Amino acid sequence: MTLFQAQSESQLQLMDAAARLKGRSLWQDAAERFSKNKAAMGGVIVLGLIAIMSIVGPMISPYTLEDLSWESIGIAPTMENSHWFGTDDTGRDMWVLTWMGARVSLTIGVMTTFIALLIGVAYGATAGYVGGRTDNLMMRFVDVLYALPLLFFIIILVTVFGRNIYLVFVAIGCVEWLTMARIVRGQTLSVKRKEYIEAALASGVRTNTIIRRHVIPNVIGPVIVYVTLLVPTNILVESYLSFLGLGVQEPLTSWGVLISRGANALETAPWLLLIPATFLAITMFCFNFIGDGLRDALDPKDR
Amino acid sequence: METVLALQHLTVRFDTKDGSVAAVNDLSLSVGRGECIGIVGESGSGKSQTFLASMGLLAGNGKATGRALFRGHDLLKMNRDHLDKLRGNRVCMIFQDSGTSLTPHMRIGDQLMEILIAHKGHTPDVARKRVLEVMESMRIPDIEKRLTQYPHEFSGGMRQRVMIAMALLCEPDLLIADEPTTALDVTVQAQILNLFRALKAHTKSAIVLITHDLGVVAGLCDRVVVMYGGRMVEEGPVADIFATPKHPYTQGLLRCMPRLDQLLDADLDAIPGQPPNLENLPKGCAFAERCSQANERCTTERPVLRELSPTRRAACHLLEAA
Amino acid sequence: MSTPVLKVENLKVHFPIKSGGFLNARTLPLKAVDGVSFNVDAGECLGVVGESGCGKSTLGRAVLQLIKPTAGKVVWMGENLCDLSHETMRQKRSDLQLVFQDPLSSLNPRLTVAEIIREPLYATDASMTREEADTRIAAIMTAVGLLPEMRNRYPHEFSGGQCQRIAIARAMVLRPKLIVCDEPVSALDVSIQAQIINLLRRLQKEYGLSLIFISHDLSVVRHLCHRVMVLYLGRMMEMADRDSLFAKPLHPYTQALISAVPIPDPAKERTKEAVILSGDLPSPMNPPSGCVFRTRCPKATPVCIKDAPAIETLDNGRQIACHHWRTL
Repeated sequence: MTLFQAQSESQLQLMDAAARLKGRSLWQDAAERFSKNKAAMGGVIVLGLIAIMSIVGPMISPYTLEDLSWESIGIAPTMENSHWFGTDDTGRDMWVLTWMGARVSLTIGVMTTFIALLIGVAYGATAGYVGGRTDNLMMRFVDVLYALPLLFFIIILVTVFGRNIYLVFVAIGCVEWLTMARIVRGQTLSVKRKEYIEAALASGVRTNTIIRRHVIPNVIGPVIVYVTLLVPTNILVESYLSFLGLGVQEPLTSWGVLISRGANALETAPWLLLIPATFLAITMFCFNFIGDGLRDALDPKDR
Repeated sequence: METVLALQHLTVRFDTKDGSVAAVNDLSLSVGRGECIGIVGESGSGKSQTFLASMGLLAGNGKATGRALFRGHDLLKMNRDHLDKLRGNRVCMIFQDSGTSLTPHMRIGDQLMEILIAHKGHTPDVARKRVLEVMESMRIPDIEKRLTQYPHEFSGGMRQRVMIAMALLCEPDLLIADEPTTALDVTVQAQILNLFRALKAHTKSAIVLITHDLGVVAGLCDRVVVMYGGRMVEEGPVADIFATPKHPYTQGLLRCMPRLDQLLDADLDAIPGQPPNLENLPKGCAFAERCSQANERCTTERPVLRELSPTRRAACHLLEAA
Repeated sequence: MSTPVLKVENLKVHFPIKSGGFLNARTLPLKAVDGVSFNVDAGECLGVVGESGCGKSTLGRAVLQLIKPTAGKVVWMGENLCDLSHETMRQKRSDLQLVFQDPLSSLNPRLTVAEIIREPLYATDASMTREEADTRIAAIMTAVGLLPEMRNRYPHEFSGGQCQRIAIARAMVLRPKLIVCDEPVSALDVSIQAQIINLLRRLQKEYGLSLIFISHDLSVVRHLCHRVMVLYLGRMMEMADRDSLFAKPLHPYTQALISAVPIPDPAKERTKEAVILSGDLPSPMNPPSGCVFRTRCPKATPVCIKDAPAIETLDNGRQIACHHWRTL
């Protein structure tokens, strides 16, 4: 009797196990860890607000990017006249400028990262998975490009093709993929040595399927982390290109352009520098918090 | 027999994100001078954590309570400096991979001599002579050359030999060897086990041998402690444990191994189920759900460790009835 | 039990290793497997034993063409696998499978159990319907002792022993004829080892599988295998059926290997006469001249330094590579 009871109890335990049959994938685990990270979640929220404002902000204001007015040159931030962030030395509304700048800066940050991601993942994964001589050749090519100074490269592009916002995308993207390729290659090399790859090979799985099902999902973690850290880097690169006069051209604006002009008027109108610089800094912090949060969430050591 | 190490109600807990997990629970045991005690258990049985905790080497989120008396002094209450002085001098530890316990940028000979100079106050000349003497007694070929090499030039077996040489040099009161031969090949393991035998014969050190290999225990130890799910389930002299194991887990462990001295033309007598999950230990006996003899009481009430004879203890309800 | 399904002839796997400095850089061959020949019969379990670095894992992978052999033949059902193109070999793979030592790292952490087991099915038969695949997955999970309800869980939610069952299910789902098991139980706890050994034994009998069981644990090999091959530094030292090998090992290395295994019986373990070898395994980059075992062999003579012993085949099919086995 007692034995029977013990058995039925263990059967109950089995059923209990069966009750939570739906397994928890590593992605779900990571998502849960991430959502518990206050700094990272704060970063997501603030960044989301900035992104929304970059779209909605200019619409709220009664002014547009083209509105120049002699009466309102160099007004400090005020609630009157709806010049919430004040105006610049040509009388343009800073609120509109700041959010339009955000639009351009964020787009450049995201787009360039996307270009870097595309080239970097394809290049790095190929080099890493094929290996051998191909890998050697491909990575030496990356080394050569690394040795080329970014600024030098962009100045050449600008002199050849003229100033153009799309050129900025391409220029930054073309340089930043190098690090991405190195990261992806390193990850691919380590994943390639895992036994489950060998097991898949031994089961007759095709190379394409192996890369798609086994390599990329296990490489993607560190790549996501790097992407979130690359976006702010690229925003910063754009702003220093703009600061040097190589980036975005008027009337289009970006945080880099605003900061550059604000720096010239620092003594008379400090808000021209402080407002875009503050937003730039906040955005940087947000991306970095998110990146750190993702790294902690995806870290295999924690598994 | 003089007691070297006495653990009293030692409990080791780890803080994890899912709460506090007990790796070792209310463990009491003692090791005497010149005695070799074998700690047997599977991964997660708490066999390693017990002694890491005693030596103050727990991971950051671990906490040990109870008492770990080394010659009457509680190691758990000892301050850092005092503990550092004990370790590597009166207490030596050998781990599975000793490559990590040797400094990679110092010559082996210098590392060995340093111990004697630092702990015993020998002059370099005396220390050198003593090191050579010990290495010679271990029959290591090419000693002079070997001593000028660096750890990475040594194989795993050679590094393990160096660790034993260290133990021989300091003649510690207590030697703790945690799976010292697990990473080695059988022929090298045989060499190392021979050295342990020599060590046992020539020093009065108390030896704690932590292992999952019952064969190693059989050849070396005087007394055996079997652990399961963070608790001691059985303890006794080595001959008795192997001849008449009392606890169902010990019995199962001995029965389930394929043995070189017996040929079995049938399935092995495997223990069913999985090792216990420390985060979710059952209310009763941790082994109950894998035990073929378990009854209702086993799943509801935890058995306490009781004395079966002056030398033997076991924790099982079934033994009470018998 | 008489027709060999697998014939391996004079198999060699050499890895080129760069050595020397910048100026005198040269490539030396690391002879991981050097001229090994053996057969495996249908339904037979061949044990391959040896210490780390003896080339036993490389041998297993070379048989499966996961590492391209440098020379020699791997004849599977009359066909030399070494000559096949990548694509033809891929189609052959459903017959030949592999089980690894570390169960957790041999399972992709991002896939569920069902996805892991399903993969070989789809890889070899793209036309298979989902229902058919699911039925086979459920059947094989039951056969290896897993609850089919656990199909949607991930590897990290299982213990080591269960992960090894998943790996075995993945290997078995194609109904292969030969499985290479590379130390399948050495990463497991003692009490779990027995379960997996029993499972392999049962599957082998039920399905008439041939196994190449690679292990350093002689007790396990003795329990499971019909025939045993002893490797040392990439070369075969001795091969014999289990009973004669363990009853009377002829090669000095086999003798040392067997006597070094600790026996879980204090009385026997303390009184047994062990042959303790001196020193460590020599570097496979720079193997000793003549007989590779001579540097550690207690019976070595000058002839062992000069000539490598030829493999002698005795009447009962037993093979041995030693100059002095008759006089030992």
